[in-house]
Amino acid sequence: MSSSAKRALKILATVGESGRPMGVTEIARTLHIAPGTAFRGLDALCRAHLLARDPRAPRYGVGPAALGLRQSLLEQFRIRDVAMPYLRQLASATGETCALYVRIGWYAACVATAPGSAEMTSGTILNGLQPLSAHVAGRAILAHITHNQIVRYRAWATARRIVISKTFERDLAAIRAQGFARALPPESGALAVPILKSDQAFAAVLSEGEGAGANQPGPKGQEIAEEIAALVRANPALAHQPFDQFDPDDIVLPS
Amino acid sequence: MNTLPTTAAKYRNQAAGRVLKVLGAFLGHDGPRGVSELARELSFNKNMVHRALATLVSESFLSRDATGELYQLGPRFLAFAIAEASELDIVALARPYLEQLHALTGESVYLSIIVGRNRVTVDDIQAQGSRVLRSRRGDPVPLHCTKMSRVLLAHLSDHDVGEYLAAASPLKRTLAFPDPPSHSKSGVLRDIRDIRTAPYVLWRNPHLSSAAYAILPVLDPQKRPHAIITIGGPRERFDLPQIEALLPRIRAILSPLENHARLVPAPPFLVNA
Repeated sequence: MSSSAKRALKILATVGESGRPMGVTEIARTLHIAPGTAFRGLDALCRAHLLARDPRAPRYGVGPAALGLRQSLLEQFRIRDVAMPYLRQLASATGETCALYVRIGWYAACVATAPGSAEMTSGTILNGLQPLSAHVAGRAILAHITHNQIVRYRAWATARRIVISKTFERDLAAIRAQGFARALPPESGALAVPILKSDQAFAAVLSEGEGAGANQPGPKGQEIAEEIAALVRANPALAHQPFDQFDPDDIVLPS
Repeated sequence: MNTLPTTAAKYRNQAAGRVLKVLGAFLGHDGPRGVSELARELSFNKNMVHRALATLVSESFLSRDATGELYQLGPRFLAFAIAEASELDIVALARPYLEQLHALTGESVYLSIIVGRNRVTVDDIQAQGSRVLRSRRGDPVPLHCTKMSRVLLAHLSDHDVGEYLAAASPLKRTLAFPDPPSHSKSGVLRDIRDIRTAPYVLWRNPHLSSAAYAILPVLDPQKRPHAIITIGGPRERFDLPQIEALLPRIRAILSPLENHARLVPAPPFLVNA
């Protein structure tokens, strides 16, 4: 298939993953392509409604077709519908934005958020899909998978030059002992509680802003993670997700 | 001299357009899709569709499904950092209506939803003076306890009510104030039958600051509950005659919210047995 198609898809990924509208020059610089080439890709993407041009500025954001496709994918995570009222309860009790992260291969993906009443959110929530060790919710999950899988994750991450801290194993042991993970500097304050299916975590509830002052998650964060886990134990199909059939090593986002 | 590059660029962009059309064909389809089906729908030849699918898979916008024969949306869309939810966020959606109801009545207004086996108030605007609701924002109250909880319970199906009552047995009683209907299954079911006879509930609470309330459900297309909105105030200024006089305006305020909510299914009700 033509490289113009690949370029258009890379432009779509760049704008989507940036979380903000981008101009032609910035996109061209990011992807090391000529502005004219970027413009042709943008034109094709806008015609397909995957991107949309901001009517007030020469910038491009995610379009209705891409939003619709993302929504269709999210709806395939049944755990999301069930967890959403719990996230709203936690957000209303703490005032903090709360989110549900699920494990996809060696990544943690945010599939649901309930905004808190605080005006500012730190951005910990809106990080899309990240390697497990690179995000507080991912580390809560990573600490509760088998040792063999942790070894495999380490090899996978090393091959992709994902920085693994020297205290990696000790950090995971601390998370297991505490029952939650705390965001590490320079990440913003947040705490994540794993949701366990049998003895392994497949998801985590993250409450933003709690990490800064609190030494441990409020009882509500842990209660809510346990209630969601109990629902999954009673209805195992809730934990199914569309990428279950893949070996974790086979789920790789191209850079 | 310029014709050739222009034509070549146009051809290349057509190729990109074809790939993006194949991706767009997954919009509005819940299940995975196959090469032949896509080729037919888009009037492309199978070879073209196959190559487009391979490009989309290589960039993780699509992936193979569990059978390995068909294609489904890929994980790349999960990497998109998008703040705004495109689904129904009942808290954000209801907030302006709570403000309008508070402005109209001057009384406290509450938005409550079902969380597991409980009612939880997830947003409120408090009027000046003494509180007219004992439970605080975020506190769980069992679905059979209090009139507000039972309004949510009453809008579940008979099957869901039965599942709830079986799972919640023996029924806990609220310790905050007497609530006779919550003491037995028959009391809960009787109250549910009464609640179902009207589109809203007007209620006097004799035990708490002599308060009165209007409780209005916000329902989905199957008339299942997204939430309830409660307006409550002390009876010396907000008794049933005052509420009844305000009801046409209260219902007019809530009408757009009700219309919006009717377009989206409410979350599933799952009881953790």
